[in-house]
Amino acid sequence: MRIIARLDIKGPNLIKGIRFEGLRVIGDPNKYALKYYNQGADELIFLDCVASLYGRNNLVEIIKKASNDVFIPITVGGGIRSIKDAETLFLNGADKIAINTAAVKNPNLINELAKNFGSQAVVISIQAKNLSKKKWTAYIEMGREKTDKDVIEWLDEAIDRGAGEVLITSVDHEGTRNGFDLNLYEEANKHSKVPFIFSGGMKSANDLIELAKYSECNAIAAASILHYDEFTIEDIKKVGVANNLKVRKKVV
Amino acid sequence: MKKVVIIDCGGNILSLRRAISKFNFEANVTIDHEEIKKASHIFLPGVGAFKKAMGILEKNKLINLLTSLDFTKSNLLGICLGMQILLQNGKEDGFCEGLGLIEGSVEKIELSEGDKIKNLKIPNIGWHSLNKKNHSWDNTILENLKLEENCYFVHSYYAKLSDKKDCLSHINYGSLELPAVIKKNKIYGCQFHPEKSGEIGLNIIKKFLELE
Repeated sequence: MRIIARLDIKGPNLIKGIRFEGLRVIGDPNKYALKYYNQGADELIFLDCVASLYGRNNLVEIIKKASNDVFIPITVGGGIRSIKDAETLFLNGADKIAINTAAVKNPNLINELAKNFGSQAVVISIQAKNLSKKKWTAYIEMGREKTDKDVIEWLDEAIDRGAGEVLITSVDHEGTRNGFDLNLYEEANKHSKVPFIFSGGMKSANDLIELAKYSECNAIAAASILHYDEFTIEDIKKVGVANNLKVRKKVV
Repeated sequence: MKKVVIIDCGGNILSLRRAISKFNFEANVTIDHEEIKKASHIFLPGVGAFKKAMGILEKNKLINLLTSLDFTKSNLLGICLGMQILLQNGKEDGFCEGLGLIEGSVEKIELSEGDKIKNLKIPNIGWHSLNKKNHSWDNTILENLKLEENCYFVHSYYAKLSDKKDCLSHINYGSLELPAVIKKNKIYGCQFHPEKSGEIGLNIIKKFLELE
């Protein structure tokens, strides 16, 4: 099980919202990236929250610097609309790219990116808002805009088109630190033939145990509990180890 | 004097260059035949598709060059797809000839039903500890590696070796045993990404650079 730190970026800053709203500045993204690397994060995900407004120069600089100090996989998302956008990020240190809005508007983009860079480098990022008991709607534009796409159907389609990994974030739970949307986890995990990163609402390390009741989770991504110093990656992994979950430990 | 080169077959080589420079070596990214012939340490990273990588080598007339090098003298490290193309052929998207430097073929990872119930997926994306069978790791790039230390894997295909002796280390992925590090003379292949495997991976790169 991978424990991943998710860093939402706006301009030069690391930021965090609640349900993708009320974005607060946390600090220097590279400082936090290095901190999480040293704490034992298995991967980092950088998501550019307002890509269209600020252009992409800030994000490229952040990634470039991150790949100087941090020797774990880096996934980058936010405003990727073309092969060229993806290529720029790969050349500057990204190992995987995450796409959402552009893929929803033009699903063929997934096929193109997978063909050019390989499925394992293409992550479909889905922001899921609960509609009814076992139904979720996909949101785009960093949780700001509703679509009429059913999350599970979209997940199936994206994987068929070549996405090698799925990142699902619960719009309702993210930033709340109230715990994961377990129904969403159960449904998405049943359908995802490829590795699947679950994110949104992590309250404490014990949430790992909640997920394990359904199945051995491939990966979780945490943001608020890390940025607000409630738990470290080490804290989370200690609980994983204590509960016989397969987490990467630091060997002394 | 050691001379380090990287042959670029596609993918993020920035991290690999940064990792090498941490140990005070400068790696030249090159397709120049003379430079590669003179190199003491050759890195062959690769990400993406077998056919595409072999196509890039063919376009630059590097297939004949690489297969003609003396690997009792030159050190080579293939990473991920760069390891897979060391084999005789690959079965991704049909069939494609590889470099044939190590015997075997590259095949798709097939999970058993039991593996799927345990929630294992393809691609294999994650950190795994490297296992040892009968081989000694002394004087290899895995020297001093502890058995519980993990490296980062991301792949859908694996190296099916003809000679088990060429497998220096394997991982357990569900019911499967997949080669993690292969070796023949001074040719090494890592299925994982040492440049993305934290301090453990950096040490493996360091060990490779320390080879004479």
